[in-house]
Amino acid sequence: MRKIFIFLLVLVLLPVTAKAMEYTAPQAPLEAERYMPEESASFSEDLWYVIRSSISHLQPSIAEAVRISLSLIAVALLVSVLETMSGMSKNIIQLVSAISVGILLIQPSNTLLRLGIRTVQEMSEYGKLLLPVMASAMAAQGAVTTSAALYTATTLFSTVLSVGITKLLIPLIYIYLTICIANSAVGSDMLKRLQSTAKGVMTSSLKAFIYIFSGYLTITGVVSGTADASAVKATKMIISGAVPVVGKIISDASETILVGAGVMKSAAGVYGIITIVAIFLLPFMQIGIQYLILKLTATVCSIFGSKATVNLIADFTTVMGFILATLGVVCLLLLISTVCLMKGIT
Amino acid sequence: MEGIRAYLLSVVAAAIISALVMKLVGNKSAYCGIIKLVTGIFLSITVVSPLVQITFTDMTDYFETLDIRADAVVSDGVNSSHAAMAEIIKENTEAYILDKAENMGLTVNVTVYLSDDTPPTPISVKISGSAAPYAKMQLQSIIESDLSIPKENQAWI
Repeated sequence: MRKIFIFLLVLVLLPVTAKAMEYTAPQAPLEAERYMPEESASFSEDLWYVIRSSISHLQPSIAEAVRISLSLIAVALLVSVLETMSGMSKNIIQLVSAISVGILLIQPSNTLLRLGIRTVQEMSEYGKLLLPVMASAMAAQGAVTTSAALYTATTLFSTVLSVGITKLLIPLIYIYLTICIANSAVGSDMLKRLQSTAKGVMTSSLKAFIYIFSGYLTITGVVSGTADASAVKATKMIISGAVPVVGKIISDASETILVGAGVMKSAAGVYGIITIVAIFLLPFMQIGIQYLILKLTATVCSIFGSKATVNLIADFTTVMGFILATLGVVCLLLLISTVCLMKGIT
Repeated sequence: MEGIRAYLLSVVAAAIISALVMKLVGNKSAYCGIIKLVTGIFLSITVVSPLVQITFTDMTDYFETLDIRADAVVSDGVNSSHAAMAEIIKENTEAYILDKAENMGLTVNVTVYLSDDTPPTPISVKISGSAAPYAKMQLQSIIESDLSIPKENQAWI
């Protein structure tokens, strides 16, 4: 009965609350809006719509990846034939093989890297617009300490990640590719060790980042959530200590604000999540397709190709994997933060 | 970040140059040992010397800016929620008084004023309209007992 009353009160007073406080998610970027439904149904239906729209645009990426794969198989075949011919210098063949594979793969890798950078920047920019709305709505519900802590943490980690990716990780990827090509051409233990160090640094830094971020968010949520719950309890005690009629009016108003802010925050959060997925999904799938087809190509080439050629193709596959991991980390950061802000005080 | 990028580029360039030189000289050359020593020293200097010059930037300003932005976002939420709650409390209190007045057969206009506390509470009221002295006294008593607004804070126009 109480729930029905609150629902009716919300229906009556929502126009009143809406005048004073409005929490709507920022508009999705034009590129992402193409993959989002025009009218929102349920969360799962909207998500499924985004997935279907993204998949329907994958055809050109698959065709391009297959074309590159066939070229690589042709190079590996040619190199293996040349190797069997007597009188051919192995060093020259190795050099030519490295240069050929490098030329075939460097341009698509560059295109996909730039796609990855653009997607990271778009997600970061959208996060900068969404997070203040969610934090503000959460503060309106009484979770002042938690919303400030979550907003600060997410902004800090998002900035560090965004700058780290564009200024450090991406150049590191280019350096890694240079070392891989040089190692394939020249074959040096030092370059091999450097290559493995660069790979280790990139992998470990992404892993460490996500662990630190998740740990910080968990601890912050518990500590500040306890403080906010105490503050809300204290406010309730003040209300209950007031004159009965006044206390009831204030209590009803407080409940209306909580429910209204909660409804608006949830709606903004759901739209924000769908938008983040719409920005992230198609580039992720485009790079993922290239990654899978390159992996398959390396497996096929390992049957007849030289070790150096196959290793170089595998190194480029590793780079695709790094870009996928980077995109995944940025998307995960935003989704975790949005869900934490939607969750509110426990 | 730019510093780290330049450092990495210099280390990688030095490593590639050293590898190429060693490959060109070959392991069986008479000068192999000396070349190895020279390239090793060159690479070591490239790796170690920038590390010695590291200084850490003072991040205090950045964190202060972050705190200010977080405070602004949170204040926005708190202020808008406070304003919305004040509006609801004001309207409900006015509706309560009007309801009581109507039960007594009075036709009045009511404006309630709230305190600046959290949560805001009604502190004074302005009532306009004609009323018999007894009805007016009754309404004043109800307002005083039910809403804790003392008679001196009730203005009749």
